[in-house]
Amino acid sequence: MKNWPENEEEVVNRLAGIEILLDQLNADFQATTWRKSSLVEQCIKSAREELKLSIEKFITKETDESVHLANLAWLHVDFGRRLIDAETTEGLLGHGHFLELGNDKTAASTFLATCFTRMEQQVIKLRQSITQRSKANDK
Amino acid sequence: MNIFQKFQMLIAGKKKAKETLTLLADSLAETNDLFMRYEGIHAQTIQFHLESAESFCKNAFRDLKDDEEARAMKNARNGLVHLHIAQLLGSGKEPPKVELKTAPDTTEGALYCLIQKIAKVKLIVEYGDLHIEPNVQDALRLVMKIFDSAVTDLRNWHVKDARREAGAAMVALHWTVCLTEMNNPGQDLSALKAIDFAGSASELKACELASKIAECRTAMAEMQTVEAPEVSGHLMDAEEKFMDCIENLIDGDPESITLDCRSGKLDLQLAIRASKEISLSSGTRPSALSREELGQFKQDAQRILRLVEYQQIDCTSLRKHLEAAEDYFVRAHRCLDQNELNEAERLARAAHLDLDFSWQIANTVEQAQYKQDL
Repeated sequence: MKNWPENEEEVVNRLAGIEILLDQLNADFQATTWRKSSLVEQCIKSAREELKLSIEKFITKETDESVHLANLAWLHVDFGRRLIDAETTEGLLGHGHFLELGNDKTAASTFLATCFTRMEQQVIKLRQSITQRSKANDK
Repeated sequence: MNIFQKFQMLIAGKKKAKETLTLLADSLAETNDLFMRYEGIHAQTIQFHLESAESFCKNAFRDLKDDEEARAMKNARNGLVHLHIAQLLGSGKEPPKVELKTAPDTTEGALYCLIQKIAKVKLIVEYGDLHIEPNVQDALRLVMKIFDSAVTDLRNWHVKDARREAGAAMVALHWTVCLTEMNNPGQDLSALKAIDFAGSASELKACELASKIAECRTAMAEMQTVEAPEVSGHLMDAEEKFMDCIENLIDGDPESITLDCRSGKLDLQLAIRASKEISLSSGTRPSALSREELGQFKQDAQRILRLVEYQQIDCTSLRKHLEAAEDYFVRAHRCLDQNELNEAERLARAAHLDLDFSWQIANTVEQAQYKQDL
């Protein structure tokens, strides 16, 4: 695996390094008061799972798998960190208008309702046009 | 000297397993004492590692008692890993640098570029207080869906699939930025559009098509011809080709992407020609059912299906009823144009019924029913 040391102790140091970043991210997430992003929460959860498994694989000497999972854990942590930093900027300095990236249930149901309403309005408009035309023809 | 180094010295010195285990047990007790009053951010994680270390240590002693020296040493090593991590977490020292140093042409590198770009888009949209239309939100949802698939594929060692998906997500993100720029005239988001990963020729072609569609739409909005059916139809065709490109990027079909891009550009040329003709003659002309309106109806249906799919709900039945609604809607308009009013009303009502039925399915109503009073 790319760019990982071969020395066991250094690998463990790196795993610990990812865990430190993950705990820091989690602490910042718990401390946010403006918004709890479900996507950041998911990043933390996924990173925790991958890292736990990575340590287990390291212990059973499946080093490639361990490093692979650690890389993934790091990607989740890095993504969560970037998202929370962006939201912190907006929460502290902006207007509190957050851009939802994840599969937010409330945002999704609102979006669904908007699409259906727009489609129904088009159908209603069409039916009104037909009625009007019928009345005009009757006259 | 840390515990790891001490352990390695003992092994190198061919000391007995008993001495090694004693070292581990003593270190474990010391570390437990040290972190007993620790209340920092790593408290839970340290606790987890200490408990794991303790469990391995107990197993090692039991193995030793059973004269299983090799197994005891293995368990001791495992306990040691957890103990070492716990000590590092509680030490308060700067964590070792763990940034992925993978080149952008690797899968990990491409995904890393992608998450950087997604976060940057989020930051600029939020802090710049940019206006976000549903089509941008829709495009973003597509980006995140492909991103999720890429991560899952990488997780399962399907590295090539993950790389293709990362590229497709980057192209979809480029399109998201183009749409955001269209919704926010005067905002220059060109920095976000730059392709900062080693994109393949196909990815670059697809991005180019996206940019051209956006340029055309913007120009035609200024000329006030964008809503004319002769123009909007070609623009929507070009957008459909772009969406096909995304699918083909995921599937890894470069020949189809080349064809999609060529065909999409042709649609744009037709749109430009139609737009010029309208500007020279009478300006925009309304119609009974503009292609724009029909396109909106189709796009909404597609958005609903994508959203439901994204939530991993089976949408076979929903698709069937939405497609039926769309078909009735188009045919009803055609009948209205031909003054076949009874048939038009029958079809329009059928469209309404199927649309309502779809709404019930999407809202997971257990037994969806056709409403007689519509």
